[in-house]
Amino acid sequence: MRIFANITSARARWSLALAVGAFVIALAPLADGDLWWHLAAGRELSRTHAFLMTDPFSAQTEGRPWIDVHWLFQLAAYHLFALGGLRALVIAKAAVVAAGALVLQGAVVSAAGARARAVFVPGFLGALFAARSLLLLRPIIPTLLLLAVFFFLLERFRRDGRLGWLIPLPILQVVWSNVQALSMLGPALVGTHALAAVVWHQFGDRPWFPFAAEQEPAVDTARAARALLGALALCIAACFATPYGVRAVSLPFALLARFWPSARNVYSANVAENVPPWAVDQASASFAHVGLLLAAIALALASAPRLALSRLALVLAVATLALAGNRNVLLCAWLATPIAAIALTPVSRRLRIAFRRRHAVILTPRWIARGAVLAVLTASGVAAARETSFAAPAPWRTPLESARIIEARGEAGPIFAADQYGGYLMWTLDAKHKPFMDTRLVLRTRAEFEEYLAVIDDPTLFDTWGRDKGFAHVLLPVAYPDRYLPLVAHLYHSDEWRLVYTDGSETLFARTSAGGERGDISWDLTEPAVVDRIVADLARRFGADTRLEDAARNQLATLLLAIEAPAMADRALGGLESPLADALRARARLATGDLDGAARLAEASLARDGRDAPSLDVLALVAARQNDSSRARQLLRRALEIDPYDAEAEKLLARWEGQ
Amino acid sequence: MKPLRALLVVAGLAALVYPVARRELAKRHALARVERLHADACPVIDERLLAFRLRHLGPLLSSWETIGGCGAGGATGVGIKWVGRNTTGGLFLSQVMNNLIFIPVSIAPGQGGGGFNEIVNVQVGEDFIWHGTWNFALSVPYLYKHYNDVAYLGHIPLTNAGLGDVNVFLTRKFGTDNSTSVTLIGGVPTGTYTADYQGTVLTPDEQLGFGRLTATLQAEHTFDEDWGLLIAGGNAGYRGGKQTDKFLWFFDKTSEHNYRSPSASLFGYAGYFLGPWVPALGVNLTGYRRQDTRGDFNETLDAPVATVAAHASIEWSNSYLAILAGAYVPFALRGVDWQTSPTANYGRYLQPWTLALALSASPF
Repeated sequence: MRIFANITSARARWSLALAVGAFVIALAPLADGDLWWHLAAGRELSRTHAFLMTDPFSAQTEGRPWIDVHWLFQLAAYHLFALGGLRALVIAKAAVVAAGALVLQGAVVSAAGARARAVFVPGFLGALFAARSLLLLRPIIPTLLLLAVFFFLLERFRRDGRLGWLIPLPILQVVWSNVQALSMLGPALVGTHALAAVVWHQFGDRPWFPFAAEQEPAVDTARAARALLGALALCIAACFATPYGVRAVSLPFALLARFWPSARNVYSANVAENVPPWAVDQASASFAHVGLLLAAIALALASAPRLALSRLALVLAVATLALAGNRNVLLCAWLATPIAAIALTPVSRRLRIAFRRRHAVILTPRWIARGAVLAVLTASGVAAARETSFAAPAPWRTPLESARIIEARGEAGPIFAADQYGGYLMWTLDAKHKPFMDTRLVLRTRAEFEEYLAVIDDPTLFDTWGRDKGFAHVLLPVAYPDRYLPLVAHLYHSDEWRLVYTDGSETLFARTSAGGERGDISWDLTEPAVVDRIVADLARRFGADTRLEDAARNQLATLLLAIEAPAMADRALGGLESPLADALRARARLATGDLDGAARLAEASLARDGRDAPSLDVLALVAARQNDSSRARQLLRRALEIDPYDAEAEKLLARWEGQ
Repeated sequence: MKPLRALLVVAGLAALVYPVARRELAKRHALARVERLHADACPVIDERLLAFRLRHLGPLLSSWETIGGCGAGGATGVGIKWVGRNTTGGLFLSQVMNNLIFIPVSIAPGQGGGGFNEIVNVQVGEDFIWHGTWNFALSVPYLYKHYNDVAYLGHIPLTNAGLGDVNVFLTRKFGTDNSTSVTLIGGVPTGTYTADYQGTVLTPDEQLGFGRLTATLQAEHTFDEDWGLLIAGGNAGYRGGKQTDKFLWFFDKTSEHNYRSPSASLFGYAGYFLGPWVPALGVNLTGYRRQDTRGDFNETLDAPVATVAAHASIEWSNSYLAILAGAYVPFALRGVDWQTSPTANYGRYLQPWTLALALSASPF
């Protein structure tokens, strides 16, 4: 009976909701290419029983010093993968996220009491759900858990000043330093608390000092400050306890400089996860949720009677990091939400009393919190159910078939592949087929990365450059990003290269001079039979899920448009009925000179959705081809009124301005 | 806690409003560009301008481009202004400016034997990536104030040193070459304003800060010529207004109010390019609504309500490093009020003047 009472207690209910919610939110198949090079490194570590001091994987950076501070994560991930494949890694990731959420809840309860759960759980799950796409299968996952543990220990120390809470910090820091470069967050967290404790000790009794006490009244503030400074010193010393010593400590600062937004920072401007969330080409909606998160956190902090300096400094730090780069939005949600909950709890208590006085029964803060949790749980459940199998990578993110073909062809030589493909090629191919590029940009100089971007953006540069590098294969994505499409088109039409495989989402090219004797032939995408064969193959692969099959065919049509085969694009879209397919069809008609057909399709799309800016772009171009400048301008104006960030409209406007 | 709470509320609301406001501004900008198109300016163009991809599934790379950088510009509204190329490379701009302000000896008996203020100002700035048209900078001053002979403390020398009021700069640049800029400068009361000597609170000008939030709005335009550059602009500042701090009142019950008057300035500078050197001359006109006071409005600080200042500087720079040396010499135009002749500082025209040496770097 007592056990039953425990299970049904409010504490257990909130904890269960939090754990289940965080677990489900984190459930998603592998969508990121980094994990593959982590697995390759883990395999190498296991095979050689030696740390990787130089890069063995990439054709461009082979032999260069590699500060592989992730080695502990790589070993664990590799052995888990060996045990249960990607499914085991996904489930372990979700479990670690859930465990971290529970630890954070412990910190919140320690700081603000048991009633804080009703504030923390819905707020945290909402924030985590908004940042769901950033919960990638990477070393960031153990970092989240360690951040939570550090925060918990420091909050407990704040409460009773017992040194025992600080003792685990340096030990955990040693582990963290061998998991990820973000381990510097450990000393940063301890340092914030230490500095705030010193400031409180010096100025806490002054009337003008605006911050709340750093420790409970019973705690000796001088002793607490000394203890925190000692813990900070030990944590900093622990950062050096890696196979890479001082170099490992300098790595986070180098990485910080690389993602800090600046007009001249090629890493910040060209790597999606480093781009600031408020950047111009991030559709406005993408900043809206970050803005909402930051606004909620700021207003929650403003509601507090008094704030501890350490908590405010932490929020400012993670909010700054979030504004500096997309990838840090997750850190902000993870660490700022519990602090906001601590600040908001006293207000919620006053609200609860006010509601009670007014005899409100249903619309009380507690019921609002329960409703919010239910809504997030439902949304995250639906999102998880819509995912593909956890046992395989997310569709189109990993070049499974192209890698198999490269291996089967046997032709040795470096591979020019999109950076996100590099990791999988390292994992799956032998030393004869090393990728030139991968996502470990820290191994490359700025000039090398700029060179890589330059040959993508200006495909005419690729011919000479590619010959010099001796590439045997080129492997490029169609699925995303768009940036590779011009190079795909260039290689398709080049005499030096021939297309040896595509499914519409990945394209594999081999050198013309070295393939004839292997019996494989060039894929002619202007041949209806070839397109039909690809469409049939897509139906076989994705037929069980029409969402995926439609997306795959849209990608194929995109590829066919890019290589100037609009009739084949129309063919690939045959039978598809969706706004996206109609929009691609309209562009195919426009490319073949069928202006009336393009206009009809665009107008039909507009009739269904009056705010369809891409259709207005098509109509503007049709009007221009019919020499009706006035109408073209009017249509462009409408498109920009609907979506001022519409890239097509912007390009049209820029061209017309330049005439 | 109140100013902190106000800042948090403002930050929260800004985060909410920003996406909406930015979208609206982008729309207006785009529509204005459409309006500027000639009636027949929509000729047939290559339809490949249309995107082949119409829905982003989750970008891994972004190709947006940025322009701009840490170009020539100013660091402060009144006082030494950085006129020259400054630095143009690097990841962010950091600047250290050392100002030595000479306080003349008053000819009035018992009014002090002059002194000096040493202000080391560290400023770190960063251009936003949004077309490089925004710049954010933080300026942290360290002050060392020395007065030779302070009459109201019994004719003793006085030194007060420490952190001053931190300033936050937010600049929006306009024009195709970012030649016009509007800067909002917010002062945060981090410097102490309640320092006392043996129980006697120091005067506001002897304190390190004023204890109030301040704000200045500055606009300027740079005419970039082959031979050099011309800068013209002005600013308006709220310098803190009344200071009614109960803590201060505890020490000095007659001082219900210290007061810093709003001010406005007009300035113009001309710099000449001599290889890596840029010598510059300039003039600054500053007016105050009324005189700064201590205590109530009858106890003045003997400061003029209007000044004209001469500026001279020389800069040497390359892409990553710039050094500037300059002087700023203000003279009183009007005295304790707008009706009087320049009788401030007991008839002296020369006001506290400044020598500066500054170093600017754009590292990484």
